[in-house]
Amino acid sequence: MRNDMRKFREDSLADRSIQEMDSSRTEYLGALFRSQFNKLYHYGLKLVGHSELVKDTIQDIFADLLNRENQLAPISNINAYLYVSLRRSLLRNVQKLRNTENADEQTPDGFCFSSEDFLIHQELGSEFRQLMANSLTKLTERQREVIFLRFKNELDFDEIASVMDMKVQSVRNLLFRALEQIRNDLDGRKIIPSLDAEIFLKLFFAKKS
Amino acid sequence: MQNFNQFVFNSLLGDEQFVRWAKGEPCSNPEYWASWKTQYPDQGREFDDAVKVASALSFAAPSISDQEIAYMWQNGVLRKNQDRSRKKIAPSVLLMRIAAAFFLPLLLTTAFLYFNQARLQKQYSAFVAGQSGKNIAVQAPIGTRTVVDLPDGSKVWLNSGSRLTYPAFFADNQREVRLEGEAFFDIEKESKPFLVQNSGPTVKVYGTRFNVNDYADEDHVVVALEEGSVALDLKGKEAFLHPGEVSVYHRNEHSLSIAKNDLEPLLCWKDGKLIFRNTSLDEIVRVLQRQYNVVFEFDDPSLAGYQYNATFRNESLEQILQLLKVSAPQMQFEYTKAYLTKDGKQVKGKVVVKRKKI
Repeated sequence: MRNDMRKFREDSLADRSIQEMDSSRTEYLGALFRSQFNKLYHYGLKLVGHSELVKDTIQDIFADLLNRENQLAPISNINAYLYVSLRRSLLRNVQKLRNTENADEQTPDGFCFSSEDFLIHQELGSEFRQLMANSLTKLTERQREVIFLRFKNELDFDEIASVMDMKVQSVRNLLFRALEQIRNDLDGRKIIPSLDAEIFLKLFFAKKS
Repeated sequence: MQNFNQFVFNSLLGDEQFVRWAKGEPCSNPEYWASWKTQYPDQGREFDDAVKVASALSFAAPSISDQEIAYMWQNGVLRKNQDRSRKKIAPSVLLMRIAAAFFLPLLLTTAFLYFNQARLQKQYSAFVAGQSGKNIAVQAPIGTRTVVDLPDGSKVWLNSGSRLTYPAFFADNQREVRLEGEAFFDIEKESKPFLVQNSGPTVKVYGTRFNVNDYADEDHVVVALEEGSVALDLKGKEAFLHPGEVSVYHRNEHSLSIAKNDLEPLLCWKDGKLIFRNTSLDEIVRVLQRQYNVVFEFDDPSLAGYQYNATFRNESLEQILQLLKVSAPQMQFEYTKAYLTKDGKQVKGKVVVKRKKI
């Protein structure tokens, strides 16, 4: 499944512009919706933490795409477009929602991570997940977002730059500083002293086979 | 050295293929990464750390089922899109709707008129039929001229003492009028012939300017054609006039003669002029009687044959008599003006022509 998704993205999405799509655009957008929904949903959920709002907003974005026909400027990178419009719409909608519902309610920070957010490494135990969650919590919100976009949604630096409205170099700096911090956290705690590359390799290749 | 180590660490984690490999996901060159540490033994620690961090950043995905996603596509996206396209109206479509709104009443009116054409036509014909029996008569009193506008747009100048009778509506096949006296016709061109009934041959035209002189006190009917063409219907035989020609019909002999002539003396009356060329006093007197509503009497009948050349323009009768006297000193005109008797009867003016005693 994962494999297929990536293949789909590399073959069809990266170099295809919307203008090239003809009568099969509904079909194409349908396939795109099915393959990208979970990633977009996960990102949106981390951004605003409102499940129904995220679902609705993603549907709106695709309905908009269907409705555009070919009359607007072509979208050169559909993937980046989806993330950019999702981010903008969500931030706008959640603001509206908060204004109408409860003005006093405190807005939680975006991109909060708990131990449940991480895959369980059987060999490493649940303490490791907790360690990662704590480590990420120490980062800034933007650092957490850039890590998420890069390591979960696998956007490239150009795409992240347009989604977060930053320069590419700033994205790189932001990411690397965050990673350095995580590395220090992992090193400093010495919770898993035996952890090294060999173990990881064994571990993952064993899992795969 | 610290900086370089950090650079290696960053480069590894910045590489998408490395991250995949470190997470145990398929990547394009697993052999390269597997042998990386043996190639760069100095950076072993950086490599291990990078692998650690990358694999640690494996996020659990939320689980929205394929069924739910398919449902949202069908009922969320596609239906929303339908609703939206139903709401939105393109400007061109809007313009067409406005145009249609204006067009509809126009269409209905046109349709109403079109389908009621027959009925309206019938009503009109009935009205015309009701009027067709009715004739209109216009009389120019003696001493005055009158202009008549006919229903077809033609114009008629009626000379003093003349009478024109015409229908309120012309018939479908011809335009027929009746003339007693003298009139100048300026006839509108139409496919229906225009007929002038008089005591002589019927004058038949389609669109011309011509003069008809049919005074009862003259013994001939004179038709003078200024432009166009005129047909004279004499007992089924037709004679044609060309511009500049004059026809003279003698009532007593029933004979018709056509000749080229100077039209000016015959047509000038409608401009208030009187032109006489080698005309006998007898003839002049008849014109003056009609024009000025007087009676002439010859004391000496031999004077009637006296010939004149004269042009009068809006002169009074006294002035004309004075002029006639000056050119012929042996003549004398005794003019008695019109007056009312005691019992209210009008007596016409009277001119007695006498020979002067020398």
